[in-house]
Amino acid sequence: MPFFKTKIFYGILIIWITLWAVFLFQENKPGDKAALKFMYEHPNHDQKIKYLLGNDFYNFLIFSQKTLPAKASYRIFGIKTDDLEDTQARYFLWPLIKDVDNPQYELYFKSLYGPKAGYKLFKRLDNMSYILVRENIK
Amino acid sequence: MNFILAVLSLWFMGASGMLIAFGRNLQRLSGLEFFSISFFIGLGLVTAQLFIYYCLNISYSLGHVVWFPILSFIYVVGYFIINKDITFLKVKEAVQWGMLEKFVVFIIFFQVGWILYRVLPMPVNSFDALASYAFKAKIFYLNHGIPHGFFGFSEDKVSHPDYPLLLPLVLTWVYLFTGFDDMTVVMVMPVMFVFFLALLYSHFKKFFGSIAALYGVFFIATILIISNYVVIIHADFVLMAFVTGALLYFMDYIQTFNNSSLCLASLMLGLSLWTKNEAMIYVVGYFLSFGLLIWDAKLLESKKLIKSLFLSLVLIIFIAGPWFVTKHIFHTSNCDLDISKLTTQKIFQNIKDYPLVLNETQKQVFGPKKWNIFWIVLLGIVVVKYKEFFKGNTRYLTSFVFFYLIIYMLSFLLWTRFPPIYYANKDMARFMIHWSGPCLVLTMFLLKKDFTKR
Repeated sequence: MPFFKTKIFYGILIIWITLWAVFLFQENKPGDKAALKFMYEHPNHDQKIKYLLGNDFYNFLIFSQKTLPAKASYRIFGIKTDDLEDTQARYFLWPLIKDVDNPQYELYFKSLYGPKAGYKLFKRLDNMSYILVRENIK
Repeated sequence: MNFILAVLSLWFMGASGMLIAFGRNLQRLSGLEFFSISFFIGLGLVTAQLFIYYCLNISYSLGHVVWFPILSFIYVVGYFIINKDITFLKVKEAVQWGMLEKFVVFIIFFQVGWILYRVLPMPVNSFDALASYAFKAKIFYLNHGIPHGFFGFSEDKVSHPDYPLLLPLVLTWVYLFTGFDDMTVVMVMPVMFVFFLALLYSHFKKFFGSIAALYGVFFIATILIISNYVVIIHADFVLMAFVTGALLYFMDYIQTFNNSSLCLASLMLGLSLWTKNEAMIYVVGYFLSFGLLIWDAKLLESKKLIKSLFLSLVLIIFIAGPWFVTKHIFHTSNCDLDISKLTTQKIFQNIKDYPLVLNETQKQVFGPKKWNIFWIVLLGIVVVKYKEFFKGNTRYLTSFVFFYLIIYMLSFLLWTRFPPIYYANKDMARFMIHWSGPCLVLTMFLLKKDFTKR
C-alpha cells in the first residue's frame, strides 16, 4: 500500500491540519490582530506609520525630519539603542544619517539629558522633546 | 499595476536567461518548472544588473534599468513564436486526485490567501527589514545607487553592511517600478513563496509523482513559522528557496548526469551566496557531497565527474566571486564573529553555555505553534529509515543535510560578541527555516519506495 493510504499518514495529516487550523489565526506576537485590523480600517499611509510608531514618537520623528537639514547627522536620546524604536527612527529619518560618535544634531525624545557642552538648543517640540545642534554648525 | 510590471520584468529577465542558456534542453523541464525557475534566475539577473551598475557608476533609475526587461520580453515572446513546436516535459501518471487531495490543494490556496491578507495593508515594520533589508533598499533607491563608502559604514548607520545584497537589490528593483512604496514592496515575498511552491512541486512530481509532490508542498506551505517570515521581509526564506532548489537540481544531476541540471544547481548555490552569509556552509556541503559522488564512481565516470565538479566550481565562483571581491576590497567584517577576539577561554565559556542552546533547539523542534509536527514527523522517519541514509543516491543528500547541521551547531562555540544563547534565541528559528527545505527533500527521498508500494 502506498504511504499516502496508510493509517499512519492519515493520522499525521489529521494532527497536522488540526494544529494548523488552531494556530493559523493566533497572533504571532501580541497586538498583531489589532494592528492588522487598524491597517485595513485606515488606508492612509501616514496613519499606518503613526500606529506602528506610536503617536508621540511619530510626531517627534516628523518634527525632526522637517527641522533638520537634508543629510544632516544625528543621534537620538530617550530610546534604547538597538531596540525596535532605534531601527524605526533610523529607517524613517533616512537620508538623515545616524551618527553616535560625532553627530551634528542631538535629538532628545521625552528625556532630560541636556543641556550638553558643545551643543546649544536648536528647536523644541515640547518641554521633553527637543533638538540640540553642535555649536560650530551654522 | 506597477508592482505587477516589476514582477513581470523579473520573470521575463529570468525566462530569457533560461532560454539563452538552456534553450536546447527545454524538453527536460516541465512547463511549471520553467515558469518557476525563471523567476529565481530573474532575481539573480536583476541583482547582477544593479550590482554592475554600481561598479560602473550608473545611477539607478527606471530609464536606466528598463531596457533589459524590454529586450528580455521581446526575446522570450520571439523565441516562443519562432519555436512554435517547442514542447515541455510532460510527466504522465495514471493516478487521479481524490477528495482528500483536493482538500489539501484548497488548504494550500487558503494559506497563500491568508499570507496575502496579512501582507496587503501592512508597511515594512519588522525589525530586520527596518534594520537591514528594506532599509538598504530605501537607501539605494533614494540615493539612486549604492552610496559611496556604503560597505565601510559603521553598524550605527546601517546594520550589517557585510550582508549579501540580493534581497535589498531586488527590493530596490521593485521601488524603481513602484516609486518608494514600502507597503507594496513587501508583496514580493508572497510572490516568491508561490514561485517556490511551484518549483518544489514540479521537482517532486518528477521524482516521486504528483500525489507525493502535492503532500510535500502542502507540508512546507503550511508551516506557520515559514509563512510568518514570508509576511515580513527577511532573507531566510529566500535562502531556503535557493538552497532547496539547488539541492533538487543536484539530485536531478545525480540521476541523469545532465549538465544543465548541474548548471542550475550551481546557479542557485551561487545566488544563495548573494542572499545570506550562511550559504557558504551549504556550498561547502554541496562540494563534500560531490566529492563523495566522485569517490563512489568508477574510474572512467569519476574523470567525467571531476570535470563537472570543476564546471560547477567555476560557475559558482563566477556568480558569487564579485560579491566576495567587494567584501575583500572594503574589508567588511561580521560584528558577531571576530576571529581576533576568539580565544580558548571564550570557546570554553561558550561550551559551558551550550546546554542553553540545546534547550532552545528542543523548544523549536517540539513547539507546534511554529513548526506544527514537522520536526517530530521527520525525526520519526529518520529513526525508522536510518538504514536508507547511506543507500544509493540518498547518501549525497544525507551528507549535505547533516554537514550543515554539524557546522551550524558548532558555530555557536565561535560567537564572540554575545553569549551563544543570544544567537540561539535570535537565530535558531531562522536557521531551521532554511534547513527545513533540504530536510524535506531528504525525507522525501527516504520515503521514495513507500510512495510507490502497491
